[in-house]
Amino acid sequence: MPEDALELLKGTLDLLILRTLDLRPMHGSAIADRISQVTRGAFQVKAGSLFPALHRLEQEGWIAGAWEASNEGRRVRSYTLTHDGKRQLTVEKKTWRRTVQAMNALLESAG
Amino acid sequence: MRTVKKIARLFRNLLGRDRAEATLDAELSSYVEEQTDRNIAQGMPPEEARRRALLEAGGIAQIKEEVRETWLGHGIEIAWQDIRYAFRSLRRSPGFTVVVIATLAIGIGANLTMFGLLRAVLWRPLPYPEPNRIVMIQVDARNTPNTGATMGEVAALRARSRSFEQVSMINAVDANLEYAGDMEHLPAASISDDFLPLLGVRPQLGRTLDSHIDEGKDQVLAILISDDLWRRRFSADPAVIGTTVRVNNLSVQIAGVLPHGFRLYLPPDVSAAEQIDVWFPYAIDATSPYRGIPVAARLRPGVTIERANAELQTLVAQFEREFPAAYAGSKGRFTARLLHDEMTREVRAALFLLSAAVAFVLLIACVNVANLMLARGSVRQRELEIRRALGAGRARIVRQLLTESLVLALASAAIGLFGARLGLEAIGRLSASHMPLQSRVSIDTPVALAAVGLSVLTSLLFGLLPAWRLASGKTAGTLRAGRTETAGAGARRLQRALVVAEVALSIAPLACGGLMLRSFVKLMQAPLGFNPANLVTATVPFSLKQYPHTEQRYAFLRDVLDRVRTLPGVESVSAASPLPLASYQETRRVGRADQPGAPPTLATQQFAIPGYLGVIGTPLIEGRDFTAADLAPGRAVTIVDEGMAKRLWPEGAIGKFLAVYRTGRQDNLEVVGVTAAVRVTRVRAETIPHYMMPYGDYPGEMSLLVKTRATAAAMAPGIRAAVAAAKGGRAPFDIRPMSDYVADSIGDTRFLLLVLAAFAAASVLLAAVGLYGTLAYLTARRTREFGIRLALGSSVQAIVGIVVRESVLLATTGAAVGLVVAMAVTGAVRELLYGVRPMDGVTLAGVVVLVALVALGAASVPAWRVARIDPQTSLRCE
Repeated sequence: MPEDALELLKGTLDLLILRTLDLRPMHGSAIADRISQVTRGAFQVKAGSLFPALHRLEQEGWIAGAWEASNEGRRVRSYTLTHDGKRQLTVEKKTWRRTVQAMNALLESAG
Repeated sequence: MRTVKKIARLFRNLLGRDRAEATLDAELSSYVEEQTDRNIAQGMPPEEARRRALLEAGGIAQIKEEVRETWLGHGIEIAWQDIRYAFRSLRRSPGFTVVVIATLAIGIGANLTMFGLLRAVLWRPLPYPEPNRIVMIQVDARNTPNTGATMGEVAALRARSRSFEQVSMINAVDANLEYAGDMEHLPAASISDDFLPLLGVRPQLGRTLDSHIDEGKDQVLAILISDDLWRRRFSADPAVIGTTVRVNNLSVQIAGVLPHGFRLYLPPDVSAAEQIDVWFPYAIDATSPYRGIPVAARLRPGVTIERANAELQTLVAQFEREFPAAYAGSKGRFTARLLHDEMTREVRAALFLLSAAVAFVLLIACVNVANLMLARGSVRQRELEIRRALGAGRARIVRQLLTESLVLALASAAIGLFGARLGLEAIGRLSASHMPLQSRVSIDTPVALAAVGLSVLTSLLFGLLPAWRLASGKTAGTLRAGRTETAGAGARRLQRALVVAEVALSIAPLACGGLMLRSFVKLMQAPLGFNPANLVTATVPFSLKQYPHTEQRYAFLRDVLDRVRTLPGVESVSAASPLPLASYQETRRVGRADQPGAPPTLATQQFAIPGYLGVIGTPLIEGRDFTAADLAPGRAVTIVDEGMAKRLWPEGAIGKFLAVYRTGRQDNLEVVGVTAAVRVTRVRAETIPHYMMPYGDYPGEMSLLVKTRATAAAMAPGIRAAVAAAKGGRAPFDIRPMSDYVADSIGDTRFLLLVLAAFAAASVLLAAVGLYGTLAYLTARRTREFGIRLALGSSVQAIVGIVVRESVLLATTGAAVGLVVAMAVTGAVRELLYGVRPMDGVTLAGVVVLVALVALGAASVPAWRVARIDPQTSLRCE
């Protein structure tokens, strides 16, 4: 069922993480699982790109990390979307849609 | 708001570094545990599950490094780490560190010295409001360059020019102040009313001068004094305003006191001191035909110097028509030039030369240090390999190595700054009167900033190449090889190239220094036409009011001479005005009286009393000296020098008549004697003809010449007492040996020579250190090879020959390249030389010989070491 995993485009990982955290606060591997699930395995986020991205977003002030107990009772660092993060998500969504439209217009043009 | 949050986070990161690390650690291990548990849940054995989880994560250390890079303030952290690391690694090799810092401190210190000097002299604006609107107007008229304006012309310029706001005059004079029973000779200036407003200065006390009020019919009524004089002689008493003092035998009122720290900066040809103590009013009398007053002016806002000069040319055409007597049919030329440019015009070439030399010193220092870094780098290769293996990227290593360079450079700059302070003080002592504006030299914020800038620049210059080479790991594999290997051929070639560059760079300063030395020696040997040895001079001013007639003045002078002659240790005494090589000389246009139409020649004029030639030691070639009879009024006789005689009367000068032209007047003087050519204006100037007249109706001061073996300081009290006893009412000044005048005249060359010599010595020293260091290093690296050669039957001489040959080869290659560079540089400083050509063979050959000797010297220690190589030990070592 899953096709080959897609390579993450530069900048899309931020959008994926912000969108995922828009549902509810989650910790690292839960975010990766969720992204993989929703995109039907198209995006497999590895720890090597996940954690630097999380910390970068946290430094930007878009998400906030805090220690919590996970469903399995493990102590995990869970991230919440902040107010600034919500605004950033709107901006990035808009940018992404414009990119997609532009790409589609190009791909579907005659010839 | 966002920036505030970011700054807050930056501080949180920098302060909460350990907590952040702990959090990251916990977060990642939690992640790995979770993945492990998942793998176990899928049925893997725990060991395998953990291994797979770690593998999937792909290097926890690397993830951590990448996460850290996202943290704000990470750069600062890294820099701090690098700095600590640099200190640790430098402490481990103190010898290297000391040599590098010493080398760079010389380079940076020398450059900061020059920067401080250039800033004070050329770059810092003059301390007057809008200094780039202040100009000096040079007047060339009657075939004489820079002869000064007439008052009529100044008045006309004021009335007609649209380019200038103020046109004012200043004349440097002397003042003899008598106050509270004490007489003092002081530097003074006569100024037109708008001169001080032109410089934007107002008295701190009292009022400015107004020539309508302050200059009476025959005499000055009021003066301004300096803050310095006010504090020194009048105890800074505000009641001094309105006080009457005696100046130059006249009673004058003190009208005002100028502000503290006010200095007068004018071009050298005005010969005004920076610190003027007494200011006289100077009314402009438009009818006076007298020429010779320097003119300063202020451009109107928005007027360019080109426009002002264009206007001056149309005005001078009017002046030629209106004041025919002042031009005598010749063309006039008025040129406005920026005051600051005029002040520094004569020293620009010298400063350029010194800047070039000092830049060479810094380049050599950088090359030297780069070389040392390279040599050290091959030793450090292993350490760097380990760091690379542990995940440090090339950028990270380059950054770390450059940090090390920067730490070295900054330490050197700190020492260099201290050195520059000493250097500038030394220059101050050397060049007191030869470098305009140098009283402003100081180590201030811009100089300190320049030190920082220079260290960044030099650290890049000497650090980039070795850092790049090392980080690129050209010799990859040293980690695997269990021992240090001989440096790659590439590295050795680079090191040799650097040494060649270093030697090449040291040639130019050496050549310039050599040329300056030759010039100086030639100047010392230049035939002056007189003998300055064992002569003490003193200038004796006297009042023309007190002695209105020539006979009275001569009687006074004879009285002084008689009194001085009886002083102990005096062999003979005479008097003249002005002295040869004194800063102020009278020039006149002269010609043959029997050829009135011929274009006049410019000549220097001097008054002398009978016997002067004998005392100063000017040989009389033909004819006779002046006699007492020549002093009678109306005796129109002259003694000319050989230069004048040859030019005007190649057929023989005695008995001919010399025509001396003055405004609206011509005097014919009979030539009674011819002396050897005398250098009067400067030791450098050999072509200006000179003539002497018997002491006559002119001077207000005469200079005594005392032949004695005693020093000027020893003679001074006696001379002062003798002059006071003759009751002329003025104090003698400038009691100094005649040799001082000669030294002053070649002082600019001596200054250049000494500074250049210091720079040249520094560059040769650095080149020698570089040559020695490289040879020692390369030789040490080849110990094994030499051991093998010896074991195979090579003679010790052959091995030593290899080392010496290498040194000489490097040095001569460098010298050859350097000579080409040196020729370009020396050609540009032709005007500073005297009696040598820029391509002077002796100098260049001397430079090459010196460099060859340095090369041999540098090779001697390594060669000696090589000669002692024991083949067995060398093969076992490593």
